[in-house]
Amino acid sequence: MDLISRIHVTDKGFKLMPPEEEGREAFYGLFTLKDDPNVVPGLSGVAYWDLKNGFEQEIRKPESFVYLEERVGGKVVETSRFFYSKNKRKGSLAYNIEKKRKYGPDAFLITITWNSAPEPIHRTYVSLMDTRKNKFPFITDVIGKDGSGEDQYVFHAPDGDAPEDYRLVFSDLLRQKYVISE
Amino acid sequence: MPTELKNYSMNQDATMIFFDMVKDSETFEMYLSDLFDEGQYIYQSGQSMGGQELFHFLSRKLSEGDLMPVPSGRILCCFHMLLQDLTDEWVDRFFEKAYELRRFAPLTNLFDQHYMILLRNSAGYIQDSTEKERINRLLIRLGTESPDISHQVYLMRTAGFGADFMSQEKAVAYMLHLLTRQGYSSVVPMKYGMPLRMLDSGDYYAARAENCHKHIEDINNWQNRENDPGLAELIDCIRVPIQGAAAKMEDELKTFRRRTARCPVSVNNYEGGFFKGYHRVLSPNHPILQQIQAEFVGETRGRLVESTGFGEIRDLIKREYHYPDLRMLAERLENGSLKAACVSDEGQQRNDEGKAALFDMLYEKAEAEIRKAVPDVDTMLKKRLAEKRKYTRELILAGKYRDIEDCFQRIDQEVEPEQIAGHFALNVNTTALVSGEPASNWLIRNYSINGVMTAYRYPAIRPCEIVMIKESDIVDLSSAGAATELNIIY
Repeated sequence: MDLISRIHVTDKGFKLMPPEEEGREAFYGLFTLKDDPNVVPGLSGVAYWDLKNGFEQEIRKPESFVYLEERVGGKVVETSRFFYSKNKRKGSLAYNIEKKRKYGPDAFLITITWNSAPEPIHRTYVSLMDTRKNKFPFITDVIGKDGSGEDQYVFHAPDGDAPEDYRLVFSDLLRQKYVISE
Repeated sequence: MPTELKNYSMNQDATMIFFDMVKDSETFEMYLSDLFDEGQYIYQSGQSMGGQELFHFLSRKLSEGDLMPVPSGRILCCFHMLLQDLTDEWVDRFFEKAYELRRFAPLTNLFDQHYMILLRNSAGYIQDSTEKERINRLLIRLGTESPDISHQVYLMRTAGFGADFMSQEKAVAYMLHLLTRQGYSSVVPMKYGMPLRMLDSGDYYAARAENCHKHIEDINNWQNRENDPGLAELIDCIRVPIQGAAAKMEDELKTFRRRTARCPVSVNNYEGGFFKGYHRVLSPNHPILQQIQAEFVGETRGRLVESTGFGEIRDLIKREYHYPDLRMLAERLENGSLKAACVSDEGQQRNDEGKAALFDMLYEKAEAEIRKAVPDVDTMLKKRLAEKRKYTRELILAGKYRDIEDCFQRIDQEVEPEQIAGHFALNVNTTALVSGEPASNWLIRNYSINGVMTAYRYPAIRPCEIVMIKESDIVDLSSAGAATELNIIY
């Protein structure tokens, strides 16, 4: 059974079921959406759940992103990321794309609004996509850096393109925390 | 001088059947199949038939269409056998067969019957005097008994003519071909009976010799002369695709840069005023732009390396590269100077790290192609030298004459009966056959073959070929001293 299927989320934190393969060690760390996903957060060991001890890894924060990895002989063999939340409701995030001549005749303005739980987002979790499924990354480190709940971006599209030809695509991890509305 | 064959035509005018009773002898079959068309002859190996049997055999072959009937009603029947296999019984049966076949002539329409007995001496010099005596007696029987049967006895593969025994067999095949044509007697006057004869041939096949010469020259050339000095063509074969890929990369980068306008940038990166309008202020060296460009370059490079082929290299090396080129190539591969030559002009572009990697990766691919095309220069050299030896050997056989003139001057001496101690060949008849080209040369350049007044322009021989057939009587079997003379010969 793979790592993600062995994670059982509880009210206090999560339980990690032991793998079939012996000799694995598990580590976990917490991170936020603004952290670069290519950088592994600080890790500490996590014990596998068993019948005798019934170990459960506690997470104090009400909401957090958890990174888990398993190693065999020091070598990482499997990793997983998930969003842990004690809240029952997801946050919500909306965006809008419109033509904005102010920034140029071919300019489009993207407005991203956090309706709840505003959290800065690393650029890799979001990108702009056209109808031909070309993806265009954001040229910024973090979106919504100031935590105000709104951020605006501009892009320039070829003649004839309409706002409907573009949409934002969000990573699955981000969707675990937010409901997206367009 | 060459003449067209008068009253002679290439049309077949006689049925020919060849009984080969010598085991593992395929030389005749080879020469006959080369000269005769299918249906013009029958080659039958390992069979000895009685007259009646032979009649039925011929009737069957004629009715089944394996043998084309000829209007002249002439048949040439050959027996090829070992001299040692000659027995009284065989001689009896031969005469019996001849008489019987003559009786059946009205049924087969084969009225005019001739026999050729080709006796092959495989034992060399026969030591045993009783055996010698036996064979002498049988040869004299064959030559003198039944003078009303038209037959000739030839001694083959024995002393008399040159050391190349195959040439005797070739001479027989040509002789048979001549004898089965219309008007043959204008070329070869047939003498039957009495003498024991020998045949030999010499030939010059200019085209084959030229072919060998050409191959040897090609190999010498390959071995000694460089063909692509400085490996210029190969360098082009590498550089042109690399430059093509670099140009594509440049185009793709331009497109990519245009596309970056669609990458969303924060409103904070726009400067200006409400009336003037806003414009994007973003350094092209922005780390994220650099990063996504590096990713794009990496992907594009992979794609370009994948799609850029160097297939021409293999063809070029195979087709054009001589041994010195290959040696130079191996050296330049090892010391890296080939790479330097291939990318020398790209110095400017090589300053760009992304492109330098593209050049390097493509060059590596080209080099792998070169290494595939040149597995081992020394093995190639060995192979070519072995080929050269083969052609040199063939040239000695095919081109024992330097050219046609040389051939005209020497062929007569080359095809000469050897003098057996105390014995001389009698009545040497020479028939020279030439193909169109030597015939023209003969006329135009006034060449002459000693002792040959007339050669015949013979369409059945290969282009450029000259075939000289010599037929000599070695012993008059009806003479008083025949047995003594025969003793000297084998």
